[in-house]
Amino acid sequence: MPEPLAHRILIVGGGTAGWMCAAALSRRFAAANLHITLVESEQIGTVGVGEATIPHLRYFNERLGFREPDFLQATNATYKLGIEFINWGQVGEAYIHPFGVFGKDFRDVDFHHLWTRHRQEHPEDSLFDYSISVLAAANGKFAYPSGKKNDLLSEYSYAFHIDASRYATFLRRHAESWGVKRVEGKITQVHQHTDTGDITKLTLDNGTALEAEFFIDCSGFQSLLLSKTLNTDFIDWSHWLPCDRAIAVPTSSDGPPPPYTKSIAHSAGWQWRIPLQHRTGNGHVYSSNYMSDDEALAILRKDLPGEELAEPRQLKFTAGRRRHTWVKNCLAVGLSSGFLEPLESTSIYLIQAAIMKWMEFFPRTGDNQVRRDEFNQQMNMEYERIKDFLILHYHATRRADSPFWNYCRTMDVPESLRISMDMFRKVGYLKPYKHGLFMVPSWVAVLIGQGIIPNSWHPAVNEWDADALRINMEKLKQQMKAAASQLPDHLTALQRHCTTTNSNVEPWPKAAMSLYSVFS
Amino acid sequence: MNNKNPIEHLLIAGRGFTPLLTALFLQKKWGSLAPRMTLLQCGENPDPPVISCVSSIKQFHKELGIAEKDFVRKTEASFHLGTLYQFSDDRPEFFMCEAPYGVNLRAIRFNHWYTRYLNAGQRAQLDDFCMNAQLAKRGHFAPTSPKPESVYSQICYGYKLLSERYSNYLLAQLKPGFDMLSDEIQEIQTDLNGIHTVHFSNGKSISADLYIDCSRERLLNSALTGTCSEPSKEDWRIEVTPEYGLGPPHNLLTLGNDKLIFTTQLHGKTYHQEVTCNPNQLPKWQLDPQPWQKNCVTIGPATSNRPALLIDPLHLVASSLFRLYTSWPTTMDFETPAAIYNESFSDEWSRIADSDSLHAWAACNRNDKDLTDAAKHRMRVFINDGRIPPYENETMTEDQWATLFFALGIKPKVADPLSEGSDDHWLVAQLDKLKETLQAAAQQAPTMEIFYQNEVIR
Ligand SMILES: Cc1cc2nc3c(=O)[nH]c(=O)nc-3n(C[C@H](O)[C@H](O)[C@H](O)COP(=O)(O)OP(=O)(O)OC[C@H]3O[C@@H](n4cnc5c(N)ncnc54)[C@H](O)[C@@H]3O)c2cc1C
Repeated sequence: MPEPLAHRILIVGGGTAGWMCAAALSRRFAAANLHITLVESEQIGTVGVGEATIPHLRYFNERLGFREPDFLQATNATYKLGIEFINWGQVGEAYIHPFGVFGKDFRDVDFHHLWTRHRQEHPEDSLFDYSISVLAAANGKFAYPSGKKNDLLSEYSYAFHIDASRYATFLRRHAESWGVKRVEGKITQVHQHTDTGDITKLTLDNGTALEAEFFIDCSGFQSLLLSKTLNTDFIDWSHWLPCDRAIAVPTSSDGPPPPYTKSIAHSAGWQWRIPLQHRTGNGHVYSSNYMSDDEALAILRKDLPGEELAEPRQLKFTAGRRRHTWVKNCLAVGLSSGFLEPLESTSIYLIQAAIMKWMEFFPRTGDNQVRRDEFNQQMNMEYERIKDFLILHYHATRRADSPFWNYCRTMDVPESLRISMDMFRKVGYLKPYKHGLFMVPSWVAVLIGQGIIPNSWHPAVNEWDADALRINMEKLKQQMKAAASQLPDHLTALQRHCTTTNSNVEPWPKAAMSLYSVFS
Repeated sequence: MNNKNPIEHLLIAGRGFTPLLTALFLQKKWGSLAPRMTLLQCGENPDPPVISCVSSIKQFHKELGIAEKDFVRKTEASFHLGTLYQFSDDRPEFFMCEAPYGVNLRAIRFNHWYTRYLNAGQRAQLDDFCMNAQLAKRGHFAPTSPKPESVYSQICYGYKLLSERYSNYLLAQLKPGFDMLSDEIQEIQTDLNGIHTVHFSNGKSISADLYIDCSRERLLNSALTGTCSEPSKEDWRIEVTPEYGLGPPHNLLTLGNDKLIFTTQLHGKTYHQEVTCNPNQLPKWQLDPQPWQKNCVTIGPATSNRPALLIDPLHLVASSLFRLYTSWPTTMDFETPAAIYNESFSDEWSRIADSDSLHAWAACNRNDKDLTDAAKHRMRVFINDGRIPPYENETMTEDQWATLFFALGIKPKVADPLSEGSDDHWLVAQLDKLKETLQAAAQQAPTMEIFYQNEVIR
């Protein structure tokens, strides 16, 4: 008989991470009769930010059996087709990093080679005019990607902007109905086995003791179990990702919500704008080495889309990750395991990835060393690959208007990133990874969006003479423009989809673990 | 900046199918931009007498504009469904192939359900759930059905064919406009950029922009470097066995006593290749660390000092050619293309070394020190949890690795934890039904001889 699964699971924390864990475990392991308890402290509260997501969240919701319209309604969500980066490459420039691909590949050569050549004679031409998601986003349009492969309207995916606290409530409602027991209280003591160092029980401020076989640390930046108890060291990446503070403030909206996130670079960081159905989330992420808190708040307030709906909140963080996320009988999920700053909305994805992988390597009552090592290795790879992509945004800039940007532009970057940028610059090549989150289309978007244009292109695209190429590129651009313009307005689509009645509801596409497509 | 194709003249050296495939592929892929090509027939023909290739060849042939019927008729290729593994000890035989084994249930991979099936006391081989295996064990064959709902859609096949016929066929496919020489190389003159001129003993000489060395002896590349030792020769034994006719739709691999014996039967002959894999006798595997040096790319048999045991040579040539195309020089500066090519090459071969080491491990004493670190890693994780860790540049899919482990008698201790809540009766009924469906479908398919008569010869 195989070793039995660990049965009594205690989740520490009721933020997005805690409730995603609780819901996933109670739903997916329904037949295994796990005893799942979640402890959280209202007194401590949650970080309460984290409102932009990526398409993978749809897969998570689908696996848990949630209807997309229910989710939209419960979280006051809007759709997200990408992120607009303003003032990143240079002040006054902007581009959208879309959840979709660019153009059409030619003879197994990525489209950006065709475009690089075309641009030689048409320097005003924009790569971003060859992306359905960019065109739809920029024009405030949204529709589900079509189910027909090779159709222009099938080559993108979508995510959501959500009210994070409402998502936690939504998950909690389901998790509790699936058997999760919630305990309110502040953990004051963590007990460990004297020989093994395993965590054995937690004591709450009211004296209650909670025992379990396995503990999931979702305690946020506190990292109560993984760091404070098990002393797992922190790998600090703040020399590459120098922002370490954020001020967040919700405001009223100033018009219909755009179907994308805005990221506006300032002199020592950047500002987010996340449109929800009922309000807009705003925040200024900055480096305290280069800007004071007062200055950061003043900059944020100068550029708010509506009236402030709450007091601004400050959050402090350091970019980096814990060396291991599963140590002894404790798994850390969410901010307790690391934080790579919110630039590409990767945190909730990393929560999801940790939960999904961990469910595959679920702990058993015996020795868990091999599965623990494997899980940690796979999570580390996720973090490492995202890290390079985030650093790229800061480093690939021509901005020289502030000490912060001078630092970012000239800093030493990881060798892997340096090589990627160098090869792209020389010949337009990007390594086609199979594993990890951001693939070739994302790298192309940020590199070209921030002004790194390859010096040469794959010669296969020389098959067309300049005129034929111009005609073909123009035709493709027009087809894309026409296709995108036919899509309904974002708000109209949202109203149509955001219904809890089953009759006449437009079927939403199946979810895939991909940034660029709804097909697996 | 680019000027059409920066490579205007290409010299391709060597004998056998590799240089011909190279020329044909580049002709097709480049179309009107194809460089002028000179094929220099030189060195020994390094081809094995017979090739058994996996299904990726079909996609490759599509790129080359080769129509299946025409190809099969003219080369008299037969169909290849996989390899029957036999062990010199009393382990049960196993049919290894690329086709799926079972189906995923409840979004969980089949190998986990199979593990549970065994744990529930049921007896069946994993290949009982594989369409290819069921066909091959009966000597039957059917082509892949395009209808996803048909069980025949799971069939995955390649070909068995004689190298010489293949070379002749490829030669006939080449469009005119290339030069073919068989002059003897006298001297290769080099400079800072690599090969400058190849001088022949008859006084002629050739200079090209890029040189592709497909010779076993690395006749061009050796002028630039001496980094890799001489590739070993393959030992083939050929018997005349008319009683086997066309031959079965699969090959045989015997593992044990420190060796691997590959057996292929085709058109009345039996071809045996015996490979020693005793780590004390086997030369230490040396890959060419830089198959692309300056202006010379080595493709085919000379890229390592011994051939890949389990990956067919056509698959490797095809993958090198795609790599060459992807990293094709955008200007006359070859440094970046070479770096891209060499890195991708060495990634691919690291993965090939993993599966090779696992076979050698199985054929020798199952001594873990013979395994590559990555093979050990996969085995450890598979035994512990039935999972295959992710690697970039895999030549085998996750399912193929899992199957390979089962084939070599390596079984996981546990199944996917999410499968554990499901009821044993439900599971056994599902798997039994699947097994019966596949068996019935395999039984209904024609024998390979009949299929060949009706569909190929007639
Ligand atoms: C500025 C900023 C912007 C962000 N933007 C995004 C974004 O756009 N997209 C995205 O995906 N992610 C974003 N994130 C990350 C995202 O907010 C988090 O990943 C997500 O909210 C998960 O947080 P958490 O559940 O790990 O921690 P928290 O929300 O902090 O929850 C911690 C929980 O632990 C409990 N707890 C702590 N200590 C104790 C104790 N002693 N006893 C009992 N309970 C305790 C708390 O009560 C709380 O319930 C952002 C983060 C920051 C800082």
